[in-house]
Amino acid sequence: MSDAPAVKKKFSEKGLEFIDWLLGRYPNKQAALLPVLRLAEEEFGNIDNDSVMLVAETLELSPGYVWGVLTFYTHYRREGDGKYLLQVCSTLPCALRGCRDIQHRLEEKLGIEAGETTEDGLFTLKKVECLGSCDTAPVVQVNEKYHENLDIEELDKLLETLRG
Amino acid sequence: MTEKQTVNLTINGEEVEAPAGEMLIKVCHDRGLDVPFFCYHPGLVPEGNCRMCLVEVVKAPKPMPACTTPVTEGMEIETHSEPAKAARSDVLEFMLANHPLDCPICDKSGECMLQDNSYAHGNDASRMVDVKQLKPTKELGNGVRLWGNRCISCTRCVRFCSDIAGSGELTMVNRGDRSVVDAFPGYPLQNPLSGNVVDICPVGALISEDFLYQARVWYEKKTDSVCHECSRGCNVEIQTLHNEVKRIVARHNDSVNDYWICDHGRYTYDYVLGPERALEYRLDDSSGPADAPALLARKLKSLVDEHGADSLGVLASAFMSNETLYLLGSVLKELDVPVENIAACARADGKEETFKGGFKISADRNPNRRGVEAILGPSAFSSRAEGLLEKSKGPGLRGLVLVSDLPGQPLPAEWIEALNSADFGLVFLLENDSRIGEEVSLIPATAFSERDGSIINEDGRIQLVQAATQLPRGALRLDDLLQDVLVELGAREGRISQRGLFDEMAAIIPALKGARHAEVGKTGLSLDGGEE
Repeated sequence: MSDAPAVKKKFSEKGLEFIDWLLGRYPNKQAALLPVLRLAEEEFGNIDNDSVMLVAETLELSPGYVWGVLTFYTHYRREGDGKYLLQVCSTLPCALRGCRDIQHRLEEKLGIEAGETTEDGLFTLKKVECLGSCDTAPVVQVNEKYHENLDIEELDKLLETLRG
Repeated sequence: MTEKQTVNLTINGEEVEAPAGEMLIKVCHDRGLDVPFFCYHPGLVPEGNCRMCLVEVVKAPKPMPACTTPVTEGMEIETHSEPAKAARSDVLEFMLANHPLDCPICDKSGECMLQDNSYAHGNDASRMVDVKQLKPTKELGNGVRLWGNRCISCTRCVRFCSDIAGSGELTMVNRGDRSVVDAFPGYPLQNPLSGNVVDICPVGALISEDFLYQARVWYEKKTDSVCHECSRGCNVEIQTLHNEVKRIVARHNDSVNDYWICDHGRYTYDYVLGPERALEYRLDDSSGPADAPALLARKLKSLVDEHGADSLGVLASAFMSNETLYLLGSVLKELDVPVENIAACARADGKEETFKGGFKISADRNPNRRGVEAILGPSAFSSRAEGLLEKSKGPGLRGLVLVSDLPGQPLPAEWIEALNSADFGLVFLLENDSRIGEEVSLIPATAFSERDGSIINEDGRIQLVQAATQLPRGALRLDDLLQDVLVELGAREGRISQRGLFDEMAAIIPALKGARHAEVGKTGLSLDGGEE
């Protein structure tokens, strides 16, 4: 069988130590996939195809498997994502509290559709599943920070702040 | 081994005994019950993701998927109660929510499980008004093309690549109604068993480029046969239309190939009607193929009468069926040709490969090496072949008959030389060879899809090959020709059937142990006394 393309990236010493520690806590290497993907995201800023190969090699998985898991989740920062990753929760409580309006307002203001990045590379808009903050719906997550109980007015303010 | 434990359960009111731990779907299918499914495949690990096999388990809070629910003591199952039927038709409605229903131009049409299950278990009208999700159409590698819109996310292909091929190229990307099968960019489908994902795809999401828009499956003629590309003897179905092989698919045989075949066996059939196929008949200027038996008998007889039985040599091949070898042996016996003048040639070894799921490709790329050894003797390929070649260089050997029917492997130069210098040279030729001299007689040989007969695989399993296509014009069935030659020589009264020939041969050849044609059947018979 022919091999997958060669991996160019490497985890840092500290990262490798973390992986070693992690593997001790799981029954097999495959089980450590999500935290190792998170480590790749932290070390390289986002997860590109080369990171997928690196994670696959590290955990002895096929790149296809890692790719499948990565694309299943919306919460990993991917190659080409903007400086600000806007994740609009679209699951039931947020939907009942107007997340569609939030999403459409963002699309209108940014001139992009969900799943796209603005030309200036500042914003990426994603429509995601439950962010686990149903009691403060509707929610938009900007990078690591939650913006809760949003309405259109507050959303506009938020965008202004982010644009500086 | 401990005795198998069984449990008692009720299915649709009938008491049933089943092995403990057996999945419900198998118990139901074994009893002839129609429990529909998509993602379940007997050759793969069940995953229970399509929900098409939902059945009602009395006292369970909701319908259960039969493919991942093991039978337990006292279980009560209803497969066709209203709740069970409603659950399944609802599942189908969701399946069709994003399916494009492009059946008119889909190659799977006619053998599609989504069509069949919709017909048997679905609703007669669609309630869908929403816009459908669109997914990519693209190449996945190794001649497999993806129609993302048609994918129902059953993961059969994903499980095949990870568990059977062991290479894990395919995966489900994205989630929910956007999920679709795909390969990681830069790591395409590349395992040598890739074609099987097309066979097992229950819908038209994975399509073979080789078969794309080649035939509507319901017009095809389907013939059970055996792959000739290595000595494993994988069971295949040859599908033809207008006397042309359109594709080869795997046929289930637990003792040989399970449900799989390799890509090499699947896609190697173009030579049957390829530009190199030898079709010229040249035995005598004034006569046609119909006169071949009488002419051939006369030529061989006069050669032997004039120069002695030792003056004739024959090179058979490891592609010939047992029956053909047996008939050839009978003709030569009738002419008293000594055994050391009968040899055989074989294709050069390839690479042996064994896959994660146990599927094996043999290094020996000859379908019937064991048959040649059983009928002509084990030394036919080695010492006798060398001896005959040596003899052909001397003046004693006047006549030489060669069978050159090894696909992709022309005769070695020294045999061509021997053929060209013989007083009477005859070659049964599969593919044109410009080195053969004009004095040499030619009869087109039969290709694998044109033969009836039996072959023996490397494990000593005898299996039946059946003709799927007619011979090209001018070609002669070697079996028929040899039978007719035997008639001309006075050794037989007339042709006998394929079945009669098999039984006669098996009674005479010790290695065949008196096997009967009827016992061999669709899946073959182990001659080594191996497990069935």
